[in-house]
Amino acid sequence: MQDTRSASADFTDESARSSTLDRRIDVSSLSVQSLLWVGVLVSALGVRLIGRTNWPLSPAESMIARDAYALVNGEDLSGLAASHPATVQITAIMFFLFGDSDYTARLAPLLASLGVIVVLYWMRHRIGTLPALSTAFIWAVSPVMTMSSMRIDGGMLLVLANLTILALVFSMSVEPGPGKPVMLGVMLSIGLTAHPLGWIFSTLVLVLAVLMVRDPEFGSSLPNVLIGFVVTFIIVTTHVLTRPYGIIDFFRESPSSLWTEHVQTIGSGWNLTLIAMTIEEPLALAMAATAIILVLLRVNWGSSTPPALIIACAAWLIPSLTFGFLLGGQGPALYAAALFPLALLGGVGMSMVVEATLASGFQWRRISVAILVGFLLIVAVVRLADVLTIGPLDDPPGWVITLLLLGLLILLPLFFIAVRLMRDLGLAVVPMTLLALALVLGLFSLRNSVLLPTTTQERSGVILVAGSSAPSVAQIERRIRTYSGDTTRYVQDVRDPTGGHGLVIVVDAMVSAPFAWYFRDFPNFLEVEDLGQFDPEFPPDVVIATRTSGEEFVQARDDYALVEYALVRQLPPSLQSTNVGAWLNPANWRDGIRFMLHRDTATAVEFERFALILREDHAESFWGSVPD
Amino acid sequence: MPCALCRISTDLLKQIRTEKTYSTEAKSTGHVTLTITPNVRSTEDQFVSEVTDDWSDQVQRALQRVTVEHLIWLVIFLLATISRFWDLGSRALHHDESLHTFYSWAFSEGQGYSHHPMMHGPFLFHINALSYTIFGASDFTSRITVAFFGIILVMLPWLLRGRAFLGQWGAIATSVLILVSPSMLYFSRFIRHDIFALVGAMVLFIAVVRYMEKPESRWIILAVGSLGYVLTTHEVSFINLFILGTFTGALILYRVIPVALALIVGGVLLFLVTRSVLDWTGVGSIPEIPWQEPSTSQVISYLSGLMTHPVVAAGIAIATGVVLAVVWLLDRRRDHDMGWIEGTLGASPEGTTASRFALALHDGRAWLIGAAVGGGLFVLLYTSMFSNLGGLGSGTFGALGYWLGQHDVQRGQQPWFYYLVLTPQYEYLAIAGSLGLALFLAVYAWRRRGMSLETDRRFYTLALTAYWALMMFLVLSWAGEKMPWLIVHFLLPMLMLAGAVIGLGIEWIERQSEEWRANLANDALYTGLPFGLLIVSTFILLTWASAGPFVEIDGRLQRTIRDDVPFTWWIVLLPALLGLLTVALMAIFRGFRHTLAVAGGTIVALMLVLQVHAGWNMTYRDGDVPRDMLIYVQTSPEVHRSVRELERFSHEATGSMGLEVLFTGGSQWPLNWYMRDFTNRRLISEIPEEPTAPFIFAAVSEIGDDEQQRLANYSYVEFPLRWWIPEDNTYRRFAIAPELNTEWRQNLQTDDPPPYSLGDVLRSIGRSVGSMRNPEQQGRIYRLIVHRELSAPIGGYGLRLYVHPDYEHQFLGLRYGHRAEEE
Repeated sequence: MQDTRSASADFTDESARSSTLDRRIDVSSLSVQSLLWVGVLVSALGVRLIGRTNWPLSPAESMIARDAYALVNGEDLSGLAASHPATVQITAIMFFLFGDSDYTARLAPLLASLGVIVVLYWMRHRIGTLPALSTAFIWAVSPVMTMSSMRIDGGMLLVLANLTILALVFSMSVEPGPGKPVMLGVMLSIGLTAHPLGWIFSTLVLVLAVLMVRDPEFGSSLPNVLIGFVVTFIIVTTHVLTRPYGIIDFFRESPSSLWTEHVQTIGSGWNLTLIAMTIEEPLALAMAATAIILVLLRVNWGSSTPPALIIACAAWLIPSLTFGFLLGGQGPALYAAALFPLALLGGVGMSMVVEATLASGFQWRRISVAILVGFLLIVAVVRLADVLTIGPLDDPPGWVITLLLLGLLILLPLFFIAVRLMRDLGLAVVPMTLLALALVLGLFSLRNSVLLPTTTQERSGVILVAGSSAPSVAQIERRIRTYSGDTTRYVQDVRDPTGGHGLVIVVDAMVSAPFAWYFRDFPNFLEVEDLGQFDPEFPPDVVIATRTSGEEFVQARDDYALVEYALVRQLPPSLQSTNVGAWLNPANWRDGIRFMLHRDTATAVEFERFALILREDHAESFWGSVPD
Repeated sequence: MPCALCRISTDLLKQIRTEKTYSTEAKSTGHVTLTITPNVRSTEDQFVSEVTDDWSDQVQRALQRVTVEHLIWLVIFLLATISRFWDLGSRALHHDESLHTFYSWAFSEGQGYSHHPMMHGPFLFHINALSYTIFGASDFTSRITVAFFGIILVMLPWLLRGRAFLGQWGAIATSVLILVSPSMLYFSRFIRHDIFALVGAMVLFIAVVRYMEKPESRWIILAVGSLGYVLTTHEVSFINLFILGTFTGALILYRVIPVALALIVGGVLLFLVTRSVLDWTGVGSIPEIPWQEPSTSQVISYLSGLMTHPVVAAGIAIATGVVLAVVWLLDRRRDHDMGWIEGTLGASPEGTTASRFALALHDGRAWLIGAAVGGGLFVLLYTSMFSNLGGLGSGTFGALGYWLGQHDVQRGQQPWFYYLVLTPQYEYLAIAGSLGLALFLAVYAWRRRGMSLETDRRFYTLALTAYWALMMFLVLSWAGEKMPWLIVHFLLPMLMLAGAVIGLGIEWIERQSEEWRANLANDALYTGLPFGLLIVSTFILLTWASAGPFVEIDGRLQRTIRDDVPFTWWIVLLPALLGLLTVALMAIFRGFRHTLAVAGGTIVALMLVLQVHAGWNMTYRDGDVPRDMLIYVQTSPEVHRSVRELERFSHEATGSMGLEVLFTGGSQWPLNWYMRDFTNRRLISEIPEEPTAPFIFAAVSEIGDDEQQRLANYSYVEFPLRWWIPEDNTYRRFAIAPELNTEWRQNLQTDDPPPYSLGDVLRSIGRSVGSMRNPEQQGRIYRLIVHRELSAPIGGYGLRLYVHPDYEHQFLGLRYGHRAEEE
């Protein structure tokens, strides 16, 4: 007879000890603050998800994406992978997990952008909850940061690394431990390898943070910082130890890239940084100015924000902005890195305004009415300015009636209510007005962020999208892909097992980006320095070239036809230089306001163009007829 | 620093509170509630307020009871919902899917439905008809039912969170594994019967193990009810019942009359010997099942032939003998004063299967309710809502007969090793975890030999799961028809085993001291991370080294490894060796347990990443491009595109869906489904003599010279209707498969002619394994598994869309097509 003793005591009951899973989370105690953090995070995500791929990958982005694709598939890497190794690798991880596409290529900056809010949340104990939350709000609606989170240029990763460096240094001074210095080293390395600008901005933030904290113990943490830095640096630059020469390549390519793209052209685009700061970031700018003015005037408003924090932020902002103005190679990466301290200082300023308003002792209802009136007043003034700048055009009576209605029925009553409220509010009128202003500027920033991906509305003055590939690039790519699918569906081999990618595409090296990315799965894609290089026995079906080389090619070969398309969006000529004196001339204010509100410029936006050349037999099918 | 906003909120609350008076009262339940008591209040107000307060109090208490576990389950549920429903309609319907959806749609349109065993159980057709009735018919709504059941499947381990089953961590791990399993994900978005059947099987399994833990009537009702349900889904349910029956039956017999087990084994052996002897004497084979629409006389003739066949007769005789012997033995051993149930099962120790079975037999009411639910569902669905009483026959004997008949047909012609090469390409964690747990169970049982493990509930649950996985794998590998979607039936128990092993690991870590766990965290950082990075490094290096040029070898273009791989190929494995060295050093310096936890955790994390990679790309990117063995054959996306173009054209030309479209038999699946909204569609058996229809779909294989002549003035575009993975150039070469009907497919490795012995099969496996010493072969296998890089172009079944000359100019503007006259 079998033994009937139970063995259950040894197996089933072993886990009788309480588990982490049983730990209670009192959801009922979720505060307004928690909800606000979640709200900011969700808003930031929402703003950044709209139209993420409306602008196809720019040539620079496409080169990073192409390298990431090459890394995933084991192909050789370009020099860009050496100068931006962290960015390439994070993009490669996204490709490996979720497949290669424009959308997944831009996933890493999106996650980094959300990571910034997470780090701000973590920093709330150091810089105060309200400043952290306000910074997160400014961050969420900021057009510069939104654009940067849609670009695979490493800028957003650099900003995340810089903020984490700052947070870690602050944290180390309060709660020392071995992990944080190591993490600091890791972040420093990530900043440096995400973008060549890391040499300047990551070093700057580290030095400033250390100077600000003045922690005597910091020196003892240096070995750990060094370990974290060196290990991460080796892992990242060698692409996880698989390309040992990557370290040397990094030291060759990254400083070289910094030199050629940013330092060599020093001072060339200062006006663009200025426009990015004033026109795209008015909320951060206004709130930062408020903070600085309050400190300079030694006005406290009962705020709990220590002046030292404002001074620290300003100390970071000044050199950061200086570099932003001085360095060339303007684009979202530089704007984001240079203007992030402005967002932080703006957050501090905004928190002071909010705190002063809430502490004014008034009831919520009155505060709400005051803010609402302030908001409406500002909107009405802006609208009046807008109507005035547009002018009567061909309907003077209508224009006058609009002005009268706006002035008498809206502006005037609002003005009287505002005066009345001001009298009631006393000292609180300034913070409340500023809060109303923040609300207006916040909405304005939100609008500008949401409109960034728009490709169907003419907003020629948006400097943030300059350098993007024109939507026609993606459209042409889709048409060629469809054409290839329809005509070469049964041209199959192991390089193209599904068939449909059988066209022979030759691309002039001058315009290989972004086409090398977009036609990455065409086995017969060939990049050449000279369009005459291909085998005459194996003539290309499609040639993509610059306008000049394309015309030369077609002149030499009469069996090919050429059509030009837009390639890269450029800055309108009127923005390529800025005459500050002209801004001060009242005659230009109307245009200035139009530019501020609608991004209208004196000259239309221009595009660099490329030539699409098809062999005659394809040209007729593709275009309907052979172009002359 | 206190948050200003929070402070203001508190102030505001205080301000509001000053306007009212509060009192607290203790209720009989022991908790204290806050009740608003204004100075003057009507009775009605008081009632409303009390009800509201009671309700809000309950919500408050519920929110306070939320644990980490609840939040994890909530996240799993959200991820399951997103992953199952996202972009559900973008993939073209597979041939089988279109059959299911078309007949469901016809049912919803009032055209009726009659069960046919070929299309498995009636549940799918009823539930999809319901979906179409509510949401309308589209590719998306066709799959929402299966996606919904896919979510249920992910969440079902919740019912096994008890310590007697998978444990809290084990249940979570199982759910996560089901969530990220590429096979489960893909087929949870594929309108076939398998996920419906799987949910039923899982519910049945849960009911059994829950009843074993705590014998309550509800589990009997659930078990019997789900039995009725699973039989309306898929014939694989018969295998599930066989597995469950043999497991519990063997345990009951072991308790009640162990010698019966020996008798049964003896009976099986005797039957095998008898059959061999009869085969040797030249007795003919067992008559083939008339599975294809048999007439009554065919069925009678088959049955009489079957029953009089010497092998079958011998089998029946042996089985009868064994049963009689067992009954006789039982009768001798039972206590005659206590009746059959108590007399035979009553003496079984508490908690054993036999004692639970005895208890269950006494609960007649539960059986009755369960039978009413399950039986009601069975009858309702098989008779198509009482409109086809013949469905009762086709759903039982008909279904069994049809699918046993299919065993010899060998549809798909898949070899015996099909699942052995399919599963490791996708389900790394399931394989590693279930093998690991099997080893653990064996060691556990060995260390407790002499003790009864049957009442160790977790052991019982896991042993039953392991038996389920093994038996299902063996039966499906034996079955003549092997298809990729059947993988889920043995995969589910494997995932449960893998989840259990992960759960046991985490429980074990939780049992260790605080200090031990703190050290583990450090080890994870300083050893686990480097180990993981070195494995990742190996992958990147392998990817790089295997990305050599395409070279023509033996007349075929093939991928080679890089010429510049330094020194020798093995050097690419250097990081992996360093990783192992790291682990070995850790084992020496930190002890085996730390090492096991860290290395195990790292490997699980990496495998999860690999599964996400495989599952995501297959499901959301290449769902209808057969680069994957799991996809096998798919309708090409060109079909979707053509249908969209025709819809657009129909609207432009007729203002509605009135365009005349003809399609031939060779293209009817999935076109029956896709053409359903074209009011002037027509299925034709051949191309008309003088066709005038604007559009005609015809399979390329149906176009001979005559048809070409008739369609001479039409233009056409050609594209694949269906396409498939090049299986002859990939997995079929792994080994010889002598069981296949088609001779040339038995051996794709050598030129040796059939027949093949067991030795030939073993040698062929040896050759395949041996070829892995070749770096080129390693590179190709690596790129196939990790990058789905095929070694041959995919195959296809072509379809042509012919366009009448009157419409040619308008339609061909939509695409760049071929023109017939150019040929």
